[in-house]
Amino acid sequence: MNYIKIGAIAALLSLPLTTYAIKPTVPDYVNQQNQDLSAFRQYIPVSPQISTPKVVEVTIPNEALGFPVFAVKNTTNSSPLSPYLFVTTAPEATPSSVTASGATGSAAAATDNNYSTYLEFPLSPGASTSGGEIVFTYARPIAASSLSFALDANVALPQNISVYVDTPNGFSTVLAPQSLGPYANSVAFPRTIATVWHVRLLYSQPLRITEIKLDEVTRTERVTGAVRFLAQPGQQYAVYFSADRYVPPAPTESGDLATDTGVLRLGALPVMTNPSFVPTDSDKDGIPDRTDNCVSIANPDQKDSDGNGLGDACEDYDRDGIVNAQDNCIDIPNRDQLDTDADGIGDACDTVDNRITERMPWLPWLGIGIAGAVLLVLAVLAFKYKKVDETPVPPAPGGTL
Amino acid sequence: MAFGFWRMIRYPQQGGIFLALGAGMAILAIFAGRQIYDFFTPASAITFDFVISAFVALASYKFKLRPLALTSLILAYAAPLLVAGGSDSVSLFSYLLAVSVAALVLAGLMGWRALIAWSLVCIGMYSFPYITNAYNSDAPIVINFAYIFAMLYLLSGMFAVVKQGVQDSGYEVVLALLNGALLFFWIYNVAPKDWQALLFAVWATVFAVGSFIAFRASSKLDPFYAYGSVAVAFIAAATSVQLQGATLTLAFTIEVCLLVVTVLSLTKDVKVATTTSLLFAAPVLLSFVSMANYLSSHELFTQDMFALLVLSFALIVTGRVLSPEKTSEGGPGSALIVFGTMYIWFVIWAFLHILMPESADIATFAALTIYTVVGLWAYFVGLTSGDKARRVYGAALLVFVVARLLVVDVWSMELSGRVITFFVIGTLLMSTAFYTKRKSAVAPTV
Repeated sequence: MNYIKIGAIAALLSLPLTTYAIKPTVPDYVNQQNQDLSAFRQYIPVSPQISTPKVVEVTIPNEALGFPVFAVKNTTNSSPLSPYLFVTTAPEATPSSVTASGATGSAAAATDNNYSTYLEFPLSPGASTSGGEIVFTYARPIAASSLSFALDANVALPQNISVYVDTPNGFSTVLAPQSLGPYANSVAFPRTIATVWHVRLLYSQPLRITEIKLDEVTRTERVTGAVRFLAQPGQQYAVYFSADRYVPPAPTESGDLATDTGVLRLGALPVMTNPSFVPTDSDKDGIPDRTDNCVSIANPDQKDSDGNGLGDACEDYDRDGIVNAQDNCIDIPNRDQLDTDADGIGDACDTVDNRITERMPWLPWLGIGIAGAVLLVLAVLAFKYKKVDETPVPPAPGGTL
Repeated sequence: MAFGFWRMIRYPQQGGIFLALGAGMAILAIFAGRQIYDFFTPASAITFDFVISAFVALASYKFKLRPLALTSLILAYAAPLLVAGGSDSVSLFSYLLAVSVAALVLAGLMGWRALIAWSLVCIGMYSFPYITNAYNSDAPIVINFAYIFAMLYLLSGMFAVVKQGVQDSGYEVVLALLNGALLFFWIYNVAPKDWQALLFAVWATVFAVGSFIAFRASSKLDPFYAYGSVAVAFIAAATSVQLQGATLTLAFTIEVCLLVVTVLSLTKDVKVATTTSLLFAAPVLLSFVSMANYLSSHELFTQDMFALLVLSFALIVTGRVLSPEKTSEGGPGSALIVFGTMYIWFVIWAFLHILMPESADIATFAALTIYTVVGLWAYFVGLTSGDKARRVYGAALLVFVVARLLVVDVWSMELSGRVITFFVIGTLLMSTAFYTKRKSAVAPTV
């Protein structure tokens, strides 16, 4: 019976310990999921209206592509997602305006990439030939070495075509009037850089140009960035971007987000400022790294005595390889940083001995002397006692039986 | 474990094996649980390991099985290695302290002193990374545990002696030396340099008092010698921290000389004092540096020269003290005297060469002449007084001079120096050879 009692008490006592022991530890990957969202300056709230899980694509501002670090968070259940950055590039023509003289209608019809509209150059009444001019004015100088054009159906080619450009010195001929072959849809000329281009046409029948353009060789590419992630019905998300430091991606599986099929493109959504954004401050001195004059060493005062842009804390005045903030003797080189009295001032520039053993150099010798004396006295005593113990006891009066 | 415990009721040995195996498996299972499944926290895992080890220790106590107690000790000390998780040094040494206390209690209850020594060995193994500076940042904190351990094991040794007397002198010596060595390495490698001398002095005092208590409790000198030796070693360590170079040689010389004289006067035992004189090895080893320094010196009187002369004097005096009276045979004392005189010959050689840097041949000639005169004197005094040791010494000195002349100086000396040297020394040897012959011719008629 006693054993049962003892067993029951032991079990009760061990219960809290057992409960504590079998409580599983938090796996590392769970901790890793807590991304540092304070690194992002901006975010885009996303509330996709979907009834089944769907890949959602949100366009992000191009500025954010400079440092492509993103994070997506399910704001409904606060769990991170693995985003996929989808970047597309497309050639982008230099912005330009176009005007036409001798034509009817808007000149834009010839540059709208629409082959059903056209710019018409009518033949002057009674004239056997007429002339017209199209002027391209670009936002910046472009380089081109050919001109492409397309005519409407049942329209004859112009008799000749010539190209001129405006130069600081006046008008310059790029292509002298040149007749065209029966199947020509472009003319070539020496590579020329100019902002204003004149294309002159001489035609003997009414001319309808559906599209005409100078083939830019300096054309830039337009980059569009979008973040894709797998959204669940009834959930809200936030796409974070514009980070000021690297944030590792969430270690969650993302699935195939690269395939375009079935992607819900939400386009550009309103951008919000991340209220939890905290600028990177490596040395925790309250000054963000971007404006800190000593990034790795805390210097809240930002003192910069010589005004060279580098904080005093990061300077190494004595050039001993140890920066001022960590140098125990700032003005005198002392690579060994020897500080015998441990007062924080290196021996090289320490004028005061602070150690008790330096102030009282006899102290260790006193200690050694006392230890030796104690040992000697105790040794003498030990041998004295030993002799006493070994001294034979005289027989009792009367002898022994 | 339960089966083993139940089995021990009838068959303690067999059950003990089952219990030990079960405990080992349980600790390994906890290790696997942490390593593979993240199932335990470090604190809970080590607590369980400790409880398992304590259970094994309890069984060893109940059934009086010392091997099982050792097993529990090993399990408890191995537990931190099997926790498979980083723990800070303070927690680790707190755990080791708890295990140490438990081991000492069990050792005290059952009189199993081996547990104390093995526990101390385990502490030493855990200390190794700290005293070799592998974890330098934590070492200054953990050294406080080292002081606690040193005091704990010193007291436990005292307690064991007081309670049960000295059962095995060798064991007491080993325990004292282990404790002292561990503490020495901690202080020497980790303690602040400016406090080391005082710390060594304090611990020397503690061990000295401990040695006396052990002696008074047991009435045996073995523990006194053991703990007293540690105290002496600490005093020597304190001295070595305070001094260096020739001064340290000097200090060690004086300390060893005083120690030998003290031991001899207290014990009246020449053998013990002779054994103690082996400590002269320390200043002798240090003196090699002084010898090299003095040889390359350009000054006649330096600290190194003074240290060498004092060492020489100390060796000769100690040798005289230790030499038995009226004996013609050489002993340990004679060896010390020979060593001591060799230092004098060295100092004479170096002194003369420093004195006459431009006339090395004359310096060599003068030194060899002195050696010859002294050698002849020693030889003849030994011959006339029947002192074999002195005679052999004198002969050896003469052999050295002749060998030096024939092997070195005949080739390296200038012609004039060679003629003078060979003439003078040759004359000395030849004249004394005739004297010897006349004496030996007379002797048989007596």
